[in-house]
Amino acid sequence: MPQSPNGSGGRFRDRDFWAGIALVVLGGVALIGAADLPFMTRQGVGAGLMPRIVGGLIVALGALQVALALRAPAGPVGAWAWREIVIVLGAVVLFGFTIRGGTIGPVEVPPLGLVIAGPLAAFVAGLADRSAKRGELFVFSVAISAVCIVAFRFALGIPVPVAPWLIGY
Amino acid sequence: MLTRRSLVTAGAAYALAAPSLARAQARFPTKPITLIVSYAAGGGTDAVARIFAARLERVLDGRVLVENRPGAAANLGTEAVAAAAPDGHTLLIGNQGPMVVNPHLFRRLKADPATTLDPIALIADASLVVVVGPRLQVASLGDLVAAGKSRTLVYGSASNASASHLAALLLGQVAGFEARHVPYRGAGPALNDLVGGHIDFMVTTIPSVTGLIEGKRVAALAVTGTSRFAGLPDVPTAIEAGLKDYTASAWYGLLGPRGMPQAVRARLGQATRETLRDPAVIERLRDDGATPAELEGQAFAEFMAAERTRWGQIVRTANITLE
Amino acid sequence: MGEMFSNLGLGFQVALTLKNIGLCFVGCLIGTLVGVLPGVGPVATIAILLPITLSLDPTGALIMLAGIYYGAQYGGSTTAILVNIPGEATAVVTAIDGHAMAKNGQAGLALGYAAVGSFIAGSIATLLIAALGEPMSNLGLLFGPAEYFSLMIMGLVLAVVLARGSLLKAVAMIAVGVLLSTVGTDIETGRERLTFDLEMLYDGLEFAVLAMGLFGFAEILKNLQNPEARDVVRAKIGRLLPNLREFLGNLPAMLRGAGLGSVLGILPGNGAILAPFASYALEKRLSKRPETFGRGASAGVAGPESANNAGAQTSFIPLLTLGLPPNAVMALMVGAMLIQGVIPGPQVIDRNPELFWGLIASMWVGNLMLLVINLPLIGLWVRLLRVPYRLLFPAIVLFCCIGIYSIGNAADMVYLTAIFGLVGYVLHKLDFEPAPLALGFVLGRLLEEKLRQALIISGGDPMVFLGTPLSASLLCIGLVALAVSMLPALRAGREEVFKD
Repeated sequence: MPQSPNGSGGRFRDRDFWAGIALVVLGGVALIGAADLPFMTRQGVGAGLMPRIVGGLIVALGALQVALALRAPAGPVGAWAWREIVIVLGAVVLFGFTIRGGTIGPVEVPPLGLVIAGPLAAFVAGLADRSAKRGELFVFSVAISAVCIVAFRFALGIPVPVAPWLIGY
Repeated sequence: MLTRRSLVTAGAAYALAAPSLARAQARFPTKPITLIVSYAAGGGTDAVARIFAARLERVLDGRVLVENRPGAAANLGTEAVAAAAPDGHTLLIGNQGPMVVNPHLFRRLKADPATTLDPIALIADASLVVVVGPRLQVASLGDLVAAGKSRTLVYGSASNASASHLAALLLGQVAGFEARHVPYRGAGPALNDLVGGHIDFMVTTIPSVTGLIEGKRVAALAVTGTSRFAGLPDVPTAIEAGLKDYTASAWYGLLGPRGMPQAVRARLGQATRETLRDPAVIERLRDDGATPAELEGQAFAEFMAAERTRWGQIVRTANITLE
Repeated sequence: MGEMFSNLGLGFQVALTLKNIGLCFVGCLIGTLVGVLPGVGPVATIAILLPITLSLDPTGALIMLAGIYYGAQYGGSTTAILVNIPGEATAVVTAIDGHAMAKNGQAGLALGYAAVGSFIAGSIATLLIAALGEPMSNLGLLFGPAEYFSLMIMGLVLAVVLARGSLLKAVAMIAVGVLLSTVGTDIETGRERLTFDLEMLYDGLEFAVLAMGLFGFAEILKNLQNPEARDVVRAKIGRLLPNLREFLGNLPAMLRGAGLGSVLGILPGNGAILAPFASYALEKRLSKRPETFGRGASAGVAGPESANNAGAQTSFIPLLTLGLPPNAVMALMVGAMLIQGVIPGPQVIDRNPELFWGLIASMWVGNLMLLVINLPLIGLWVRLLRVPYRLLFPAIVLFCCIGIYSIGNAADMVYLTAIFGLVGYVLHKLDFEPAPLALGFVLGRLLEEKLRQALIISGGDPMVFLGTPLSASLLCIGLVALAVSMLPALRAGREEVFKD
């Protein structure tokens, strides 16, 4: 049985402890979200049966996990890669926001198409790596976007907008 | 359906409007047209849209791109077209589901087709067929009704509130029996259970069962249209089989955002008419169990309004709700 | 037997014309391409290409479309092995040990096992279809909702075996997967469930969204956090192909996989999904060193890949012999046949023998073609891993973005995938594994659907699940398997159960 390296305070940084908490929270959300769905109907199983049974099971497993973690901690969760999360997933969101435009609050973006959204997403995502070289990354982003336009749009005929502001689609 | 005379009238109106149309035609389409399908690629509506788009391209001499916008019980497609610029470059292939049934199912519809869309033309009308499998061995629609009155039958459908479900519901309502509904994900799995003898009957699209009928794995009792289907000449209509008030069909229409210029609408209506006269299109639609339609503009709008009232009553009687 | 070979002879006469070989090749090539690209599945591709096939004769058109289908199945494994993104549910299992092998510098070996296993399984399945197609089609008909439900229960029990670490966490992940599968419009009553008023959730979660987030994006975040690990891995390339001894060692796994896949492929409603999972569970149980599973066990790639391909192959049986499409791709094939004036159904075999046998023979040709296309490509794929990671991962991000966008042609799905990327990273930090979640998601939807259908049909009587011998025995097998997998753990005491 591994001992907590951080003494008695360590269990609240323990990954098994937080795993249990996460399960309890998720199961709880499901139980609340499905609370107004019928459990059984005249014809048999209602819409709420499955979410509630499974939600309850998840809460129970989570509680058990918490109990086990308090007795035998697995070790700390460790450092979070916040910088990478924000940049990579930010790039993904940026792609969604620019590919055919949209509005968030005061910001309004016209449909920019793959010509812009592609290099933008690849370049921004690439910045997440600390060893990124900006010049190389920029050239690569443009090149890989060109490959994508050819492959997805022209070879497979998938209707992803290329440059609506320039060629109409 | 329009009569020959009203087509002539439409033609005359078209001739009168010709000078302004010629100008409009020169300007339309000015860029590729996006034809939105509210379902993922690969379904029945998608198939009709692609057949239609491929020929429409030639008639309009411009690109017509089919774009699938599935989601929210096909309401996302409706919303996307309702929100598009009303210049005729964003169009919708709508079927009875999102066009006339959903307004009765969803209390909070973001875009009501009746107020946010302009109907351009009805493209095709597809009859359905009533089939029974080995679990319920009856030879006629009358026997099915009799069986339905003596015990509770079980029928499958392609999905909840689909044409297949509603047509079977209507059958029960008209004939006076109540059956249990088993919803599936698509006609394929439902037919598997029909052939396997796990459910009693189905009302389904013709192409999905033609082979099974010919191979005698299921028996066709009646088609739901107003006339017999060319591919199944021996199968009577439900009316012929004794249910005089029973018709149901799946239909596909072309619609655009509310507020398109009259000239663009007329051009699209005329292009649709021309596309639907193409023998290859007629044949392809027939393969899909559908017949080309001849309803344009106002007539199509009136057809939709009538369908909406009719299915509304069925939905309310059966107490189906979504949300 | 003699009749079968004369039929196959007819088939090969049709399949081996220059034109049909060419179409088969084009189909396999397009299929490999869409399979490798994450998010672009065979369904969308075939739907888009359907109008083009109008200019072909029926047999040629179907041969090409079939090529796209199994080409895509195979291509999907490539992406799963190389970058841990299973584009389809069937590739989830391949990703587990396949990607682990790639990390050990054995990407070439993993791809080799996948290619050879797929070929062997494809050949076996083709022979099976030719010999037993018609009797096998009736097997699928036995599976009504009750039998299917029992099968899914059995499948979920097998899913526990997928777990590498804690049993408790594996069960929890399966449950979370089942929970996620219930999100969206309820199939029976049409009520919105757990959608929290978000329109993009109304039709439920897409598997590709889940997979690209939990596996693809999370993997990238993991790698970015540990640059040392990823570069050391990438320096090793290793051999490209298995040697004879390694191959023979994995042959039994391939054969077992082919058998499982062939049977499960016939089931309606995508029963083939179960095939790779079942094969993996079986191999892990039979293995002398089950602890290597999840850390790069070659049988964990060879078996499931064979099962996957055999299932893809035999899913043609219900289509060809009954005209019943067991999955979305087969439904499109129905459309393709109708366009060509061929009515799919029991009469096809008599009325269009050259189409029926030609298509079957072309499956074998197609499998050979995939081997020919993919063996040389293995070198290329492996070299792809040599691309510096700082450039490889932005390309993966972009490919994923476009692929997801193309599913619904809307940005919502892209945002949703980003969220699941974060979820996947959190799961990793908390020592959860995504594979049982993916299985729970896929099986959960069928489980609930079949449970409810069975109860509607029986009028609410739960005894329906014991009503047929088939359903009852499937439930029994599931219970026994559960007992067998729990017993040793229980005997060893609590610590051993919950800490691997």
